[in-house]
Amino acid sequence: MSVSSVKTGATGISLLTGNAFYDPGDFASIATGTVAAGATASVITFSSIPTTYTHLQLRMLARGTASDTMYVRFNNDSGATNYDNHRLNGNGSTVGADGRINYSALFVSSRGYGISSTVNIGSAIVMDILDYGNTNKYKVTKTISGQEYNSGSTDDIEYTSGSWKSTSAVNRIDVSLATSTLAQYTHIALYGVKA
Amino acid sequence: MPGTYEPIATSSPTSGNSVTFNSISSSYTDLIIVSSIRTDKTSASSDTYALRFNGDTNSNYSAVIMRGDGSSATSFKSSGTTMFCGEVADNNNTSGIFSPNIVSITNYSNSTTYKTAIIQNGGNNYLERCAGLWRSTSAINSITLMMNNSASSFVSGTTITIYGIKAA
Repeated sequence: MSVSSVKTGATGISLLTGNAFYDPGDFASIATGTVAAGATASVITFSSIPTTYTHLQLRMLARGTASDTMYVRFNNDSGATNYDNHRLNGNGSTVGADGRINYSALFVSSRGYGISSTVNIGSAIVMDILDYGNTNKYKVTKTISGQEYNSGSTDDIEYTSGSWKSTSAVNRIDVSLATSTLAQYTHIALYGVKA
Repeated sequence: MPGTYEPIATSSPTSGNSVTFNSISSSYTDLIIVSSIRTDKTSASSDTYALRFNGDTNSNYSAVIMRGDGSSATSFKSSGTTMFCGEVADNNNTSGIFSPNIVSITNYSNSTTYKTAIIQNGGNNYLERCAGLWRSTSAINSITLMMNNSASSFVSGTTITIYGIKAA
């Protein structure tokens, strides 16, 4: 049986008797945030994240109003020493490795020009947040990110581990940029992965 | 009802050096290509796994690569008529070894941005991570996976699968 939304007119299936069993699957879409054409956003927030999954994955195509570094924060925590990360990166000529200990956010694509402001080009980022609902250990992340401009000077591929030094279950994720704002065509999708 | 992460198509080539998936639906948000690859190449010359979108054979592809070989790390660039996806196992390597390769293409069907791919590869004694760019705003509806050396052929055991991921 189908149902219609009084608010939007959209139709979908009902979960009442008469329809096939619906299994959302082991890799499920939780929510998506986008920045529309001509718009900007200072932050994209995913809130009220359910604890029904084992891991989370953020999949992004991100652009900035300026070339920038991405910040990811959990549960709106901007404590000055609550995030660490370590990073490998290649820029087309050299390989670098560094770390940031005791920072106020997780840094992603952090060479300063990692998030693209170039028209028509976005930075691709996939972040895994492991065991996010566990209340006995700090949360760890694994991120692969890249931006290729065919420029030779600002291209970059990065592999980053991160930690949020809190035992709280992650129920909110904020994605923003260090000094600028998220630009049009940014698309960030949050998925849940079941064990 | 379809799931969020589902297979679109699979190929298990036992010969030839390219596989093309056509008529890719635009109903997903991201694409993931998972390959397990080995070729019959026996020469020491370089040979790379690569891809093309929508049959575009022009010089619209580039990539930045980070590579580790067990003792040192390097980074270099690639550009040309295909997107670099990595060095893969061949008949110079121990029998039975295939290269794992995963290509992730975010927002592949939008028509406003160039397409950026993240590539993870291991093969021919290298570990590689790459970011690739196809300088086209066209929605991707066809993907060709290929060896850049026309003398190389896929061998039995090679598998290539495309998955689609939907967003809410």
